[in-house]
Amino acid sequence: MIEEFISWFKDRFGGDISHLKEFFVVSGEKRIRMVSPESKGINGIIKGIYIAKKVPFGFSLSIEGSQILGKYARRNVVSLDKETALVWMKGEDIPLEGHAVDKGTVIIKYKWIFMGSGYFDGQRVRNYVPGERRLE
Amino acid sequence: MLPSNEIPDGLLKPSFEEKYRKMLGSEYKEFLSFLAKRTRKSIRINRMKGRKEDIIALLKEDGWVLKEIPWYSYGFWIEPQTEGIGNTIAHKLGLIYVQEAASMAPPVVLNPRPGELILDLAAAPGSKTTQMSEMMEWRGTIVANDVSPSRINALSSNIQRMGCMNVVINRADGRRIHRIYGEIFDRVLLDAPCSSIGQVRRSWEALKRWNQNLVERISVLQRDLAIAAYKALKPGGLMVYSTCTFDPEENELVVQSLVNRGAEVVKFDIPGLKTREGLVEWEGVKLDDSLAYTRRIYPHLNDTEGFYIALLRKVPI
Repeated sequence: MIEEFISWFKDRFGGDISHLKEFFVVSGEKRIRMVSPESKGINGIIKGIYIAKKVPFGFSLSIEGSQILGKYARRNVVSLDKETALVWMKGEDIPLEGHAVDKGTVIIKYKWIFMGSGYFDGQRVRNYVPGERRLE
Repeated sequence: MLPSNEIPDGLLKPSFEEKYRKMLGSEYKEFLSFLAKRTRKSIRINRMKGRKEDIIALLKEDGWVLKEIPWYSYGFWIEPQTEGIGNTIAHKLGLIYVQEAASMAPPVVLNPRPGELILDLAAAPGSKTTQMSEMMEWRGTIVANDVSPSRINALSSNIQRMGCMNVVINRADGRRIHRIYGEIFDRVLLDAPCSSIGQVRRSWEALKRWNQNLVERISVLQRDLAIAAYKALKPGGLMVYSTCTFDPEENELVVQSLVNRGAEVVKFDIPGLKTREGLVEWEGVKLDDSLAYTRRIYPHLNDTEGFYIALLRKVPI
């Protein structure tokens, strides 16, 4: 699944993340985590952080996945203004017009800050910000 | 209920007054006056998720005023003192962590380095774990241990939010930790569960709960945890023992039990943080002179919560 993820990222975002391969570990059937290489052999119940999940249309990225990998993305990144960024962080979907993005996973950005990913269905970006990370 | 500049009548037990007066001498009144004041709110900037100046600019844009904490260059006191900082983009995205200023000191003293193997024995909810992870630039490993499943949930959420990919969470009774991992750690932090008088500024609860029996009961657990933590160190490794309280039974007497097992107390200084020396005598019992190298951070010294910090080295046999 790691090779598939690296390949998907390159196709979808135009960026090469293969040099990070040693940080990626598969967790369960669908999730990819990032773990420092030194930590892989250490006993514990949870290692590192969750960064991506396999979904029917490829992968979705967690907030941390977008923050670590976003800088490698060359396309399918949606930059928001402050007002829309606040709406996004409240967990709402974002209608999208005039952005050159393809259907599928997009990375959301406000200024220099990556804010997770969503699914662009051609009209709006479906919000993947988890409940506990949303603004009240 | 939150403290409001005056300790309510009846909350100070006579046994507390007698003991703390003896411990603090002429500083007792000032100590008490600061215990009654609310804590100043502070945050830590996550240097791994953004440049310090960019995160500061983001917060300033929303009206927050920041003042640098002298002993940790990524720590800031913030104004206004409302609860709102937890509901900002910066917090939700893990660019900042709300952490009391004095509690940033134990990781500064331990000074974990990138690539090292660190144990945080009583890690939840993870303020010091995530601080150390950032100090290590997400390299090496921190084993973040805690015993309580509910506290591990909070720890796990904070580690995810702050992006700490070099943290491995473990759930075990800390008293058994050396049996699980052996003597492998470069550095160990034991920020021990305690009677929490240093946190009275955020809640009266600790003052309500305090009694000498509680202190003695907790000190038994603290000593057992400290011994296990010390055993988990590599020979030559460094350990910080800290609490957020002042009772000598929970502090110097615990460290003395490690000295009795051959630990060396290491002298340290935290630039910008005013402290008092650790006690070398209590209730007629003479302690090792090196206990003076441990530090007491009273609330009135820096207008913070209170802490006790000791730095120890495992002497190779």
